[in-house]
Amino acid sequence: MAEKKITQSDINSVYWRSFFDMGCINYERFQTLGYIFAFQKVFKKLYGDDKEKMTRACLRHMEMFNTMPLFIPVIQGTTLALEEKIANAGPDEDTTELEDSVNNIKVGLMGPFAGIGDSLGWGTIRPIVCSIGASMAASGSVAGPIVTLVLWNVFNFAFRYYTLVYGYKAGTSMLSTIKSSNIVEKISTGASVLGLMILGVLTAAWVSLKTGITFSVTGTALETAADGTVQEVEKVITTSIQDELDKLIPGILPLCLVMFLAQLMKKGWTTTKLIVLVFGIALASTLIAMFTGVKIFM
Amino acid sequence: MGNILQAIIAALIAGICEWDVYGGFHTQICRPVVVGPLMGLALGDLSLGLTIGAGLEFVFLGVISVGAAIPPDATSATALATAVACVSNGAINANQAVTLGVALASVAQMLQMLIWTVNITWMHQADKSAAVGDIDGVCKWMYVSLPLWFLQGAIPAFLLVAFGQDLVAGIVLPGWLSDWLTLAGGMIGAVGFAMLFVLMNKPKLTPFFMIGFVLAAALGMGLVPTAVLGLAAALLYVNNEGGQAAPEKKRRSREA
Repeated sequence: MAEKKITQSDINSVYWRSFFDMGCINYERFQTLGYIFAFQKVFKKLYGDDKEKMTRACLRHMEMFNTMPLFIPVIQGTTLALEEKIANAGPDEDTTELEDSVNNIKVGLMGPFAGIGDSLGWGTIRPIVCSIGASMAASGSVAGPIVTLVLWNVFNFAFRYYTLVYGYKAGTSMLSTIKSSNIVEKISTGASVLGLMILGVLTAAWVSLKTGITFSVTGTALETAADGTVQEVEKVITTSIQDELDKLIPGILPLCLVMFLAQLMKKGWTTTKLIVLVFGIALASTLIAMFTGVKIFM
Repeated sequence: MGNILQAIIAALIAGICEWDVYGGFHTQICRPVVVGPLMGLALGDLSLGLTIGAGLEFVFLGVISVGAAIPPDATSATALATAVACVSNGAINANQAVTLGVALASVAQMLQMLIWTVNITWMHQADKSAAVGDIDGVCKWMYVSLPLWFLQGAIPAFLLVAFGQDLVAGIVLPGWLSDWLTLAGGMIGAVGFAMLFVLMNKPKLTPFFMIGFVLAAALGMGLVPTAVLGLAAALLYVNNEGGQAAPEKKRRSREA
């Protein structure tokens, strides 16, 4: 029996099909169908002549699977390497250990990669890329969304491909390799530095919050009139609190709001509660302005 | 007739962008910053779309989906909010549309939860095929669920633009309501920024936030130059101090 080898064409097939990882996402088994969908063509090549092995392959990939999408191809790479071995095992070879390890690896990797992926991919890299585009868009530039899409997708498509190939070649030793190097920490820290700096700009520039509270003081002042005589004149001096704050540093109120909300969030407030809170503050300020003319916030 | 054609185009854009959320490729065309301008372009006001898209992007910047917790649907929210603002002929301004979008996101999320539930049915059908080794039978159920994501985005957009225009065009909001929605829309980005701050901040790294804030607030520096500085700072920091492995951090759960 000729040995079945995984070719570049097989890797391409898994790569493009892997993008449908969330296509049938559901509460019971999450990304399960998406995972096996990537192997549809490859399995037919590996197990097309062995109904029993094909059935076992299908069944073992019906187990629950859920992780961060960017990290699915790397796990699929390890699966590909294992399935290739299983397919090439002779009729009298016992493949139980290999077959068990397919799911052991999937389960072992999906948790850690979800943690890394969620905080690094969705929580740091995507916000950085999107905030750059959003800032440009908020300034009226149509290049904003384009910049975001280009930056993200170069990363998206390249990362998924190279990690797929890495997973296929590195196989099962991958998790220990990743854990022992601190590359993840370095990338995560670096991305956080960049992200926080961008967040500082966003806080200063893209939260609209000023106070309209002013107070007036009436007093007398000495003024020299056109004919040279010095007279006492009543003057009204109006001080706007916002102007005074701006003299210290512009953007104090937005900063206070963001820090206040962040504190609440650390104490466990959900996003929905915070949104309702902000709407409530805005409503209170609007109603007070309507009845008393004092614009607390504007 | 004009309404229906507009509605079809709007529905196509909303549907394709919505499909990107779960359906495939993860290109992020589902992000508000992309959906807003696309809808604006389709409905005749690109700059309004850019502003609304940016505003909603700021709110949803740090919203991530963790496990089974589906985040609010920012895509549908942006598509519908932009559509409302565009067909209102100036009655609804960008900030008000942002407020509307934030509210709509939670409603659209429910439609997504429905699809997550319905998909369980297809999984059970796929199980039957898996039991007899029919891989084609297993995988064909993917094609049943994929169109659902498209429809979840397309149908509300179509209905709004086709039939909602008469309600929204030229609507006059009472003064307090208009002021409230405008103020809220301008403030609400702070929620997104607060979320990101909690996600990214560590005490050692807070100085970088301060630097970014001062650069923008006092010196008026734009985001792109600051981002370049930030990249430089990141490289410097990581290569000099930040390379040590930090203690294991518990993964936070973000709930909407």
